[in-house]
Amino acid sequence: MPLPKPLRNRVSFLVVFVLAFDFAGCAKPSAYKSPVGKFRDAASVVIQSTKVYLLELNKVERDQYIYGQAGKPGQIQLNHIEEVQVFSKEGIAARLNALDQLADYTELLYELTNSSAPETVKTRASDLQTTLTNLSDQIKNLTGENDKVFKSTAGKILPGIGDVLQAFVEQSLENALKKAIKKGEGPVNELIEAIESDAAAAYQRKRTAYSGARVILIDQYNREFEKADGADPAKLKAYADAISVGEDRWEAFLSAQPNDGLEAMKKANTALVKFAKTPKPNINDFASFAEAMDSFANTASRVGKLIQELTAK
Amino acid sequence: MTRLEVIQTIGDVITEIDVARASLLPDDPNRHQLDDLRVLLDDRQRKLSQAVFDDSTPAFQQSAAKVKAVDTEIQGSIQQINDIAAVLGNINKFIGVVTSLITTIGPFV
Repeated sequence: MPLPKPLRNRVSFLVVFVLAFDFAGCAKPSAYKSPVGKFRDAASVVIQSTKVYLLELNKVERDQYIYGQAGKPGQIQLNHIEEVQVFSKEGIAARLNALDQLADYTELLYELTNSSAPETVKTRASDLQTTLTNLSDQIKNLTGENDKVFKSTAGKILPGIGDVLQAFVEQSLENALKKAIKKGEGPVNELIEAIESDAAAAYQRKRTAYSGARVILIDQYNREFEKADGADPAKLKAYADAISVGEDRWEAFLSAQPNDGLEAMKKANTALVKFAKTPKPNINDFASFAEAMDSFANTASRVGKLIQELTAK
Repeated sequence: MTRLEVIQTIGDVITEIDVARASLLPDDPNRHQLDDLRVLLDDRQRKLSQAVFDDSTPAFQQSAAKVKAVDTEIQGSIQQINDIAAVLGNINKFIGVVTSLITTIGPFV
């Protein structure tokens, strides 16, 4: 399973950091600052975009039912609203928390490129360990049927990430990085994939809801239109405007797949790991590495912008 | 096909049904039939998106292959509302294979 981008970024950065100092000797931390900074910023955008989908998952289901009934028109029943909810509030909160921890992990890696105070990094790693422990407890308490996969995956991988962080606290940064390279990539990728799967399903359900909303807007116009001479021109104009806005939203939505950002993050992470595994990185290796981070940043920016537009509509 | 690919395929058909629905006036009797079929398919997609199961089993893969085959067969035909009988027949056929797939993973949905 692919790791969350932030984790991958972290792992990649660690690999780059350690190998560069172990083998190249000539690379300064500042050489990584810009690409790793881009990775962190792009990961942040992707994480925020993914959160939008997860946060709206239940709302999408609710609204589809509510407005579908209004469009018929048909009776709205509260018990049916509750039936269509996908995740419990606790399930969504745990996923959002996991995304936050990924963002913090990326931030920690970024600090490694900037910080001249290893103690600061150790303190942050220790803090992150504590929040990961809390997250594990939060996930253990999930009881929903549809939380099983996320719960099982997170239960297996969070301890692995915790071990990596423990190495940061107890060992030299170099040794910790080596451990991260050896053990951190798998768990992080699996966590990313667990969230990616939920986000992809959420996107598809949102697509179904938006598709249904297009019909409701058309119906609204057509019901007024069917009044023939009795149709109110002002209402017709307002309903036509609503259709226009709805179609803009639909068009934007189709280009705003959250997994585009997650996939780009995976590629960027692969580039990071590849770079880190290069014993003596030359200028071309640095250029490829920077290019991969730019590509990720561009995709993240596109997805983030589209999702911003969608949430503004 | 994976679970997500099946969910997406169902979404593709729902989107086509919506285009057909919105091409008819709200009180058209054919429209009501399309509305009802849409509700069924939406329900199936929601169940699949909520369900937790192993999508690599031969039973799921066989059912998913049937979904894909029917989807390929009816692709693009649902918006042809001039032949509404064929449209309804195609949608029912698709719902049939999706329902069969849901039955395959029955205990999980």
